[in-house]
Amino acid sequence: MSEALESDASLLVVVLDINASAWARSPLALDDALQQTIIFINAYLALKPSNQLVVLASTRSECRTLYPAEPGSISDGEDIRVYEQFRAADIAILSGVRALLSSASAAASRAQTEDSEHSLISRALSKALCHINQMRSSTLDAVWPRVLVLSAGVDAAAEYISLMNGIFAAQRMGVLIDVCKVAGAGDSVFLQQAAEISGGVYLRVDARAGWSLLQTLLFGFLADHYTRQVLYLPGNERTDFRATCFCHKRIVDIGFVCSVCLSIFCRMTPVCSTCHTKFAVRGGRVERPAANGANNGTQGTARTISQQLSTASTTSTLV
Amino acid sequence: MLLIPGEVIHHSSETVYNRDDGKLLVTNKRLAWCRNGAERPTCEVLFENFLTQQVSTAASKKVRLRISAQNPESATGSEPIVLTFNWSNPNSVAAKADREELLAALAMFTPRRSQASGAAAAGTGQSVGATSANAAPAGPSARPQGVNAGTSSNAAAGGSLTSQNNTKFSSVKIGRIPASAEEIKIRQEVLSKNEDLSKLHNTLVIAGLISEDEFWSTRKNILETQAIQMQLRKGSSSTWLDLAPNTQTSGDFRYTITPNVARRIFTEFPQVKKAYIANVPHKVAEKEFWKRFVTSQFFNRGRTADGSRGSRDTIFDECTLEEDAVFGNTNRYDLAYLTGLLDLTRTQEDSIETGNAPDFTMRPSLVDNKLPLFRRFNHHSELVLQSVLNSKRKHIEIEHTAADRALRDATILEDLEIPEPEKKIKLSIQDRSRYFTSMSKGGSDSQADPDMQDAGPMDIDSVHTALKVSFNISRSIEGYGDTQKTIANLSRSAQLVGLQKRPNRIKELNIPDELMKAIAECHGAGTEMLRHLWLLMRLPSTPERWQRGEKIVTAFSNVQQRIRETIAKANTMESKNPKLGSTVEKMLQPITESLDTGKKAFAGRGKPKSAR
Repeated sequence: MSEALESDASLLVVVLDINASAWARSPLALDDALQQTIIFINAYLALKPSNQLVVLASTRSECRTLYPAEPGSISDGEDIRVYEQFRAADIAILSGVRALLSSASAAASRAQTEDSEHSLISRALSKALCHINQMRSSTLDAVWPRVLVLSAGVDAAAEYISLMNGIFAAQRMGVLIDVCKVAGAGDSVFLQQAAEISGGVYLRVDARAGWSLLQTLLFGFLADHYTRQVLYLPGNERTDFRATCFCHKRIVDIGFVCSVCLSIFCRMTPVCSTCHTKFAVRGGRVERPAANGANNGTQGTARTISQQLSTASTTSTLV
Repeated sequence: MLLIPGEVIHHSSETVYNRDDGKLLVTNKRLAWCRNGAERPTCEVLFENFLTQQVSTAASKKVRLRISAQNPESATGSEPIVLTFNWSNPNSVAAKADREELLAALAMFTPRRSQASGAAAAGTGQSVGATSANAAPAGPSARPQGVNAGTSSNAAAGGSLTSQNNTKFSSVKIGRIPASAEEIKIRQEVLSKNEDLSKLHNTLVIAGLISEDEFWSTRKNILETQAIQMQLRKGSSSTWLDLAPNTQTSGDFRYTITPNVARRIFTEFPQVKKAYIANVPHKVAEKEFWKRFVTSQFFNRGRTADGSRGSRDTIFDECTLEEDAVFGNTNRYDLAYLTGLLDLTRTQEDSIETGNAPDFTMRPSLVDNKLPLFRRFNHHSELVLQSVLNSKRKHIEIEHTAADRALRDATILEDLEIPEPEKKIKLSIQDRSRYFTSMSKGGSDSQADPDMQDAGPMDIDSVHTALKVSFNISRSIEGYGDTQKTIANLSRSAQLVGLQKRPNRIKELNIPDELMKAIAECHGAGTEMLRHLWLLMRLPSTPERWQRGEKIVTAFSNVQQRIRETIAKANTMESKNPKLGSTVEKMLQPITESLDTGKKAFAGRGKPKSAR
């Protein structure tokens, strides 16, 4: 891919993590976070007339596209005093979130299950990539796409594979994934990797320590591809990529990675204990991590982490 | 001869020096030659100035010894003085035996200058082994003052003899498994190529801190690479065989055909090879054959555009005919063997407008006399290309089936084929939570915010009622975060990223090259020593290990001295960087601290009981 020009437009896909449980515990209220996000989005739209925007919102039960909204879905009842160009987006986002909240509330009370802080982001990420692909193929002009995830909940282990697949897809498509951890306890390890792998920025806004969300958004995430070439953006200064093995929970520098499910083992095993893939191992026992036979389609192969990293930096490396 | 106090004569030989008869004396202090009857030696070499010794070959009539030594009055590195002694005993066998005795005595005292070769040899349990005293220098570490590898007689004894007298040499550890001569050669090659490594080798192995094997055990990859490089064989030359004659004074031409040249002629002219086998030597002598070859029309038509030069010759006319027959035979292009495909891109290059016109030089009748030259060039090109492929001459597959197959392959369009369904296995992951535990380091991250964790599960209804969406986005956002603090955090983070990403931030410090080198050396030597020290400390303590550890710790002072010198140098040096001294100090800080830690840890460990 060639380098971005100053005149090139951007395509920003904002993924809002509307995890009710996480937001309820957050020191920064959802309402205020939304307001500041909208200011950021307006700033983005104001930067360049050709800038394009997609806003997705994801709850535990569903993922919706808030903007561009389907015609007729927005009620004109609410009035926002903003610049006319921003109005459509702002109303779509706010009313969309409101609708999503009420339906999520209904779904939660119907199911009577305990709401979890685990967010499901992979769905939204896939959808974002679809939007980007669609917009790219529908225009002849150069458009530089990026995704901004406003994350609130904690990582859900169940979606690791799908999230990783999404991240690698984004990497191949040249899509940056920026992550702003707005609420929720601690850092999101998965999303940190998403930002690192795709070349985006990961920043955590600690509202309790007095961090300002709007300021972080404006300083950290507003810059487009062209500007990023000349800027040192904050974030990513110490992403820990060390991985622990699945079998003993030890931090490993060199280990075995299942080529099918990316499980990490400190010792060679003939069968992956995570996905039950049988490995084709030539020459009997393997004493130390070494390259193994080729994948014949029906059987997996065990690869060393370093090998794995050369193709897909998923798991670990020496920091 | 008058002796220096404490001096003892170990051997004396009757020798001639500068046509004077006298005695060559080996004492415990020096090598001296004294004219018969004289009290003071005419010439003497103190052992510390001793450089090399050379002996006459076994076959030579005269029995000689040549000593080269540093001139004590001039600076190091100046031309050495060379002294040659002839044994006066006419019986060369007796003289040789006497010389050997003298050399054995000499070997007891002469210091080992050639550290690398000496160490490599002794460290791996190999004797120097060379019969000639001036063996080739082993590497840069041997550069200082040449080599005194020793003569055949003292080579075997050298190891044991010198080890008693020369502490520097004896301290080199002998590896358990002696390295093969090949391995030693590889190591020497590596050292001679890599100056930094050889310096490290000097400080560690020659100083006796670690053994040769230990030094190389961590650098196996370097040795392997070197071994592979040394195994690579040179391919055959791709140059055009140009047989140029030497013009004699009489005006004659003279060709020199060595077996090597002959071999190349055979590859270039297969016909000549055939003719050679058929005619030499029973029909014509080899000399005569080559003479006829260079004068023949066959040879000369390939050399000049004028095809008629050279004389006719029965042998080589046949070659000419044969060559023409091969190339002129249009049956080679049997239509049946050609594929029926027309390559439309063939003439794409021909574009008269841009100057890339179709080639007109290859019209058959026009260049008939130049044809052999063309063929020669083509044949040569073919040979060169084939030598690269490292394959024997491949014949073009002349089968009808091959042509048919090519035609079929070219007409199959993949897009129109029915795709075969891929074999797929469903991914069934048993326990997805394992990914999470793998990433989150046992949940240390998730516990970063204890307040959140303590909140406990919340009521669903209260969760949802608490969340509202206000459409008044123009309300004040004051009080949502500290802007000063945020910007400070962001810029600190960006600064860190900038520091990490700046590609040449070490270059920006403007540290002079020599300082940089010195710093790298301090780090290299220090880390290597520390590694071995920590290894020794991890292993069960034995007196021998303890001694080695102690030796390494004492050697720390050398590194620390070097560090101090480097810092001092940096402080006095002129540089664009005003804070060069403190920068260098900061760069050397980690190694200084590590050395101290290592030293303390070793001191805290104490001697093993048996060593006391």
